[in-house]
Amino acid sequence: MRITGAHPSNVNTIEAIPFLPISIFKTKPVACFNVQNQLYFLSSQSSGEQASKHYIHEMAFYYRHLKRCFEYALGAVKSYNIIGLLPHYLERPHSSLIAMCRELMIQSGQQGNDFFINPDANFIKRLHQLQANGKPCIIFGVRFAFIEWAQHIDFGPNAILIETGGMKNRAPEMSREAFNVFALKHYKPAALYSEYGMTELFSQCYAQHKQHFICPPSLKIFARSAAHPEERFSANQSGPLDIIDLANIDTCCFIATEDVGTLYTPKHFEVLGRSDHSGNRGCHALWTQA
Amino acid sequence: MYQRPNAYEMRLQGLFNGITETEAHAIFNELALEAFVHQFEHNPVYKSWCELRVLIHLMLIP
Repeated sequence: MRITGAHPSNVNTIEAIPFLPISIFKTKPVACFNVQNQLYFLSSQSSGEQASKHYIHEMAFYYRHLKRCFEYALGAVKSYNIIGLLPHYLERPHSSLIAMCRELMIQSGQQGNDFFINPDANFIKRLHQLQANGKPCIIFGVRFAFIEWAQHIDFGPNAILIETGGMKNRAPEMSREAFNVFALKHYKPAALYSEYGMTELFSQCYAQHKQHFICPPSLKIFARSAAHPEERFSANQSGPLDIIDLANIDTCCFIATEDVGTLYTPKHFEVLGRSDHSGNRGCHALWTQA
Repeated sequence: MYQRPNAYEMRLQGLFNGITETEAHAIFNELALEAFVHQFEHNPVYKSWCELRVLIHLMLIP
C-alpha cells in the first residue's frame, strides 16, 4: 500500500484511516477540546515510564458507556454485588480502573459494594454480608494480586472474579490461559472473566475463561504486520493491535496499540503481550521533532 | 464551544440495541468515518499525525 497524507477528501473507507501511536498520549494532549482544567485519566507507570494522559470531555458519557460495555458482556449490572479488590490503585485518583469500578458499584445499587486494598478480615466479613443477599458477587482484581492471595483466601462459591490485566512488573508475566487454570484451581469461582481495557480507551472488552475477548459493538480490532504497519492481517494471524474505539469520539478513536494479539473473527481476539515497539519509537522520535 | 457530531451518542447507543450484523457493520463504518473527519478537524495532534505520515514514510523507507 502506498502511504499518503490522510485527509477527509481522500479517506472514504475505514481501512484508509490512520491510527495514532498510543505512545503519543504520553507526550501530547490528544483531544478535540481545550484540555485546560479538564479531568483526565492517568495510566499506571511501570519501570520509570512516562504515564499516558487521556483527557475527559464529559465524565457522564464515560460512565454511560462503561455500563453499556459491561452489560453487553455480563448482563444487568443491578443483578450483581461488586467489590474492587485493588491494592495500590486507591492511591491513584486518576485511575480509569478505579473510576470504572466505582461507577459499576453505584449502578449496581447494592449497599455494601466497596473497595478493599487486600483480602483482610473486613473484606471477608463484607463479602459474606453481600453474598447473603443471594446475588452473585463480582470481585474486580489485578492478576498479580489474585496470584499472590491464592494461598490465603477463599472467596466462596458464588464469587465471580474479573481480572483486569497483567503483572505490573510485580512478578514474571503469566498468560491469561495459565492464569485461568491457576485461578480456577485455587479459587473455584462461579465464573472467571478477564477485562481488556486501557487508559487510552473508553470501551472495555470482556472474556469468560476458555473463551476469547469479545469486542463490544463500539469497538473494532485489527492485527497489523509489525514489519509493514500498513498491512492488516486476516484471521488467525498475530501482530500488534490497531483499535477503533468509537467511544473515544472526544479524543482519538483510532489507536495503534503496543499490545500484540490474534484476531480470530472480526469480534473475537486474544492478547498475547506487549510488543517491543522499536518501530514505533522511530516514528515517535520523528513526531516529537516535528 | 466543542460539540460532538450530531446525535453521536444516540447512534453509538443504537449499536448496542440488538440490530443485525449487517446494520451494525454499516452504522459502525459510518460513525468511524464521521469520527475521522471530526477528529481531523478538531484534534490538532491527530491532524498533524495524519499529515506527517508522508514525511515518516519518505524518511524511513527511502
